[in-house]
Amino acid sequence: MVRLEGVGRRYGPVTALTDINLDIVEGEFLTLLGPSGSGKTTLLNLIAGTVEVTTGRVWIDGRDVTGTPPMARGLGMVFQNYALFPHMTVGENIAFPLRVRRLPEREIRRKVAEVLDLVRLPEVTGRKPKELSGGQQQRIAIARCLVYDPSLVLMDEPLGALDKKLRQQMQLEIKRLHTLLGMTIVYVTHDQEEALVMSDRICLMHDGRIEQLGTASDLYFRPATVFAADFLGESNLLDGECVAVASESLTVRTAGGVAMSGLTSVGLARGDRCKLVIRPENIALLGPNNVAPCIAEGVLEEMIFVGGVTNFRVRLHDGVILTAKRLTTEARLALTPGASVRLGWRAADVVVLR
Amino acid sequence: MARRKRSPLSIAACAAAWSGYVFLALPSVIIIPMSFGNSDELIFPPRSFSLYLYEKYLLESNWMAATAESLEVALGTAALSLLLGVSAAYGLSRAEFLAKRLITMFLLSPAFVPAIVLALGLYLYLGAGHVSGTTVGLIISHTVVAVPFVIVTSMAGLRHVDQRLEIAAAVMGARRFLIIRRITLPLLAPSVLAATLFAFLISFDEVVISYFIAGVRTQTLPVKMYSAIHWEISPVLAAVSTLLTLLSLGICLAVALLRRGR
Repeated sequence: MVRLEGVGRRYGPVTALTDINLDIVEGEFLTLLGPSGSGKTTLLNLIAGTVEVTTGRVWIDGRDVTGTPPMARGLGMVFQNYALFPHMTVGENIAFPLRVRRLPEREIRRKVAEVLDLVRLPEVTGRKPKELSGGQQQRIAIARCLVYDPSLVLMDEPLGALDKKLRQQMQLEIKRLHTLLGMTIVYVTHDQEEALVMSDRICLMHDGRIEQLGTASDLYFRPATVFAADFLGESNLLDGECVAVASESLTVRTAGGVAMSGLTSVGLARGDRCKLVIRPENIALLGPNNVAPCIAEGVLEEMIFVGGVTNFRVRLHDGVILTAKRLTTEARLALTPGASVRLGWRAADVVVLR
Repeated sequence: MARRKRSPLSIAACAAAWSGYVFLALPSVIIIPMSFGNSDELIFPPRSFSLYLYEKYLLESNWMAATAESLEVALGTAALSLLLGVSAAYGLSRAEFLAKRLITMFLLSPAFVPAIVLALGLYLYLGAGHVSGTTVGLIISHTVVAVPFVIVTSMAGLRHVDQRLEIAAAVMGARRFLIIRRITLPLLAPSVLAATLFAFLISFDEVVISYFIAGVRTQTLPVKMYSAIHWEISPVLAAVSTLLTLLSLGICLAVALLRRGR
């Protein structure tokens, strides 16, 4: 659907994007995820044509659109600030792209009513955008974008201005529309949770480059870089040195001298410095009789009770601090700082990175 | 709360400022009662009050001709400077091109050149083009003076028109001309209207350049007033001045209301 070949963008001396190669499949929901300044919005604007590439080529639907202005690209876009026209009513706003396409007036009326039903917001046709709430305005912005059936829809942090509850509701709403209509969606967000909830694939951006591209579970369970591990979810990060290498697993000695085994895909050799990533929710608190493939002992430093889960910060004997995230139970809450605890996990839960 | 004590110095400064203000405003204010006088001389205070001078203004054909000429020129100037000024402002605020600042300065420069210099220049220039002394010549020369104001007002207005709306319209498939017509101009309307009123007023009040350019049959109201005071000292002047003051006041009020409505 969309193909980016060696795409780059410079603003004067500042490089916003370098050598992006990306294929977006027809009908998929792809999220560009990254912190602010990572280049995700620039990348979206390059696809939209509102920003020109400085290098590389952009293809949409098999057509080279590099240098084609946005009006001739035939795609839809939803903006963070909604970009509804304040001087037009809701009906006129939604009719705008249809009037641009010179559809007959009867057809326009029918389509506007249809799309308002689709976003579950009929009966606001005659109102001005500023008379609606933020969530309603966003629905109208989405309706205006869907009304002319673009096969590619770009969304630039569309839920950024909404409060958390409304945001979660709208995430499901957008997912519903995507499943129903089957268009390709490229979605920009800095909210990892939003990316995990909505996407078929996530393209993690960092410093104007693609850090990792894959499904939500690829990124979560098999982060390719320390940045990816750190950005998505929470991670325990340990420094270490590679001491033994098998085909896919290897053994690492941590700075504190503990040997741990883990999985890697980054091609480390014996003697290489590396980082270990363990997700807090994969670390169990072991009872006296429990066993686990990997075990470490330490002293409980701190307990943070955050409702359904509790975070346990444990200082191992070598000084390293690991955080374990466990479901809250009364027995676990009875632990006090200073208590001796045993932590256990599986070698498969340890990802070793360069 | 105790009332703040003011130092004698600040009281003196305040008094000086007010007397200066009164001194400047007084001539305009004195004209108003004079315009309701009842004789063929300009005197203050008038001995009795009537609408005699207004009647005279309205019935005398050469005053009416000058008013019609002024209206025609002001409307022409408003239209022409609107067309040129708004287009220039759009280009200057929406496009990137070489020497943009230089071109902006050049377009605004008539506002910085002394009126008498402009007048002389236009007199020679329009004379060479054989339009000196015609209504068209007056419109052209007034437009030169009015355009910088239209550009400045429109550029300020364009800064308030969210460019993301224009981008959104472009992504939806609208071509530039349609975006300008359906999005930019409607949102810019209050500024454009204010700019038009200013251009109209600038032309209607203009005297120095008009004095150079106007011909015998194309005397504008201010030019006619100037010659009236030179040759006849007609008290009708007071009535015309009062009406002009009212017009300016009305337009400034309208502009202020437009600003507040935004």
